[in-house]
Amino acid sequence: MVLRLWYGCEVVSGVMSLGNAPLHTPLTLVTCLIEPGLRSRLATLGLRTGSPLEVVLTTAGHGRVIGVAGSRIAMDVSVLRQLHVKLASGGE
Amino acid sequence: MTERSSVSANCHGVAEVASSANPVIAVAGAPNVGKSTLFNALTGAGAITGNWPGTSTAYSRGLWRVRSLQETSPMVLSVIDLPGSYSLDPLSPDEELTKQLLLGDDPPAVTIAIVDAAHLARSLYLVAQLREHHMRLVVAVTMSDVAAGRGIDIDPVALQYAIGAPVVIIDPRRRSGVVGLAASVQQVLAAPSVAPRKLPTVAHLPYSERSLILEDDRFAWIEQAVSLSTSDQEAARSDLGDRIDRLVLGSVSGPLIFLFMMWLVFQATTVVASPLQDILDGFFADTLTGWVESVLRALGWDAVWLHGLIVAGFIGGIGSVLTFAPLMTIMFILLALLEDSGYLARAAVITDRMMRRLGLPGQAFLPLIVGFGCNVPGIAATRILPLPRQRLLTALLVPFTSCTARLTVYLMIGDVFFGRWAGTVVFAMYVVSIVLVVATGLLLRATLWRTLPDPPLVLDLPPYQRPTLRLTVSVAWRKLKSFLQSASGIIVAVVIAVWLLQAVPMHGGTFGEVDVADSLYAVIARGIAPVFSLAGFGSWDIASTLLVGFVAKEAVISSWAQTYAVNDPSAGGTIAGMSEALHASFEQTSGGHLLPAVLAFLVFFLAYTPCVATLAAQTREIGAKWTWIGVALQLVVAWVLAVLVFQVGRLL
Repeated sequence: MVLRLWYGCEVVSGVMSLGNAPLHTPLTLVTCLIEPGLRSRLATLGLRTGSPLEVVLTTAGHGRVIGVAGSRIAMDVSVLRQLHVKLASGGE
Repeated sequence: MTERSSVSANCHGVAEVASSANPVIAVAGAPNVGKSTLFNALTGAGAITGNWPGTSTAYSRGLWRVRSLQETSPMVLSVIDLPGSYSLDPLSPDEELTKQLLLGDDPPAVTIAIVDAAHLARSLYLVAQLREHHMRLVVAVTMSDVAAGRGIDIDPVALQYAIGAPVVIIDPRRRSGVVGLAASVQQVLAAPSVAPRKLPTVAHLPYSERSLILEDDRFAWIEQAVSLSTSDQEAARSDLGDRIDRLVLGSVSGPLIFLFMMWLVFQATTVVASPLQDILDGFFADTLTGWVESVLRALGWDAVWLHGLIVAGFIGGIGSVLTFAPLMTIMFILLALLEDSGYLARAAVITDRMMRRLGLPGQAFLPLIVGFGCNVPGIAATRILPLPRQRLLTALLVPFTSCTARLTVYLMIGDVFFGRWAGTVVFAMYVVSIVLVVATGLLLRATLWRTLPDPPLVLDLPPYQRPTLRLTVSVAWRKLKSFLQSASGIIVAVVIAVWLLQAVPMHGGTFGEVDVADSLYAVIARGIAPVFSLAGFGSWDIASTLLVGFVAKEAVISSWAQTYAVNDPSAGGTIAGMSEALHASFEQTSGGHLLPAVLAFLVFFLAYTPCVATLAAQTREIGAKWTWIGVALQLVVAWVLAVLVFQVGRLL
């Protein structure tokens, strides 16, 4: 099943916002609905489409710490909402 | 870029490092890869920190003496620590400056790109972009111990082959690998610059498509370099850092730990520094003053003006500067420890949501907290903020935090006028201070700072590390030296100016031997006193203490004691005489509305210019123009609030 978001990007079912993704579960980044400058910055930090990642912990203020390529990146809710992931196993 | 050419345009308090044309070596890299640590290891204590000419972007520069490969005398290189940058696609003014300096008309002779061995792939993005240009490049690999702990082994020879530039493994925290780095830099310096790496042909494509293709090409190049040069043993990754983060960043424990850390910082900058300040104060006020006075007498130089100028002016002024030294030292050491350990980035995450409402990142909480101890280190602590406009906004808010010097006056006034309610009044002043910080922040955010970008939080958390003593001391000393150099001139000049005003007789008498009430100082105080009539304290004796408070809030009580010719309660005298005089003065100027006038005075005292040392610190951090805009803002806010308090209070 294919859903169409308001950004006009196609997202397959089983895809969730990074803000809603389960903790300590291998994930894969599906889409980055983010302005180009920040998207490029996330890419340099290792967060590109197809990158493996996991949510390490939830922080005060509803942010999250994301584990990617051995590093830890703290993000706030607004960024988490715009990153879409799916379970790395392909579970939908 | 040579030392001569870059220094010639230098200003904003950055002194010349050397007069000779030393080759300039730029140190570039992402934040938290050990860039500044390497810079400190190379240049030692002689380095200087300041703003790049025409910008408010901070940078450091210093000299690196290396053993020459060809000559017997050492070679001197000028090293610039560029602002941290993940790539050459700038997202902030700091990153824009880094790009301009690396790729501009006058590029550095050699660029040392620092890459983090534990996160090699993402560190190489900047290197990939640098390799697209004609330049002399050396790649320094840091954090190899952290990488080894994670089972990652890096082969520098293979990496060198993949990158096309010399690669050196270094540990700047322990200063290992620096000799190899010096040799590589000299070899590269002696050779022509390497041709850029080959890029796909994209000139005919639209910009967006072009940048995507180039980005993909860079990541492919990085993947190849990483796979050629690293072997991952897949050792069990230590999750100690994650376990600490669960506590430090937790919804409940995170804010509590943060408050405890801030309490520690606050205590250290007040309780620990205070006795040291008293010792220095005693030394300048008693020991040194007594010694100088006896020398002057022995030399027969007993003219009052000379005595006043040397003792009250120079010694008083320099004493004022140096009594801040312990406070600033403790502050800079704590900042270095918090940053080096990795905690500062976590603190920024905890407070980010709250500070974002003022348009500031979470880190801005620290300077504001420190400001409640003393505004001067609070202003200095704004350096931890990433964007110049954030530093500027925070530096304008710090003076509204109620420092401990103001507390002594609140306590005395509370005791004199409010009796058993004194504690409540003092507490209310701190509440007013917090309200002022928030309200002014929101006001500036909605007006002057309405275009301030509100970047989302994407913060790379550095691994926890044990701070090193040498690095901490080195960083703290460099910052302290820079503060003393830039602040001393302003403070000494203002202290001498106030002494001069108090020494000039206006109704007969001799220069330097005149009652304060008959001096030029009192004439000026009488001139400005009517401004405060609407606030209920328009008498010269009260207005004059506001002038003294401009120099130092600590001096207000002794100034009143001097004006009313009574014992100084802050120096152990009884409060009775001063209490009587203050009651009479406020009663008279307020038209019988004593308490509203006292409250109005307290509010004005809280909100107007903290002291000349704060102004000196602000001038150093945000420049003279914004410092004076800040002074005007504080005076307007203070006056409006004081008038409001008095006028509303007398109606009740």
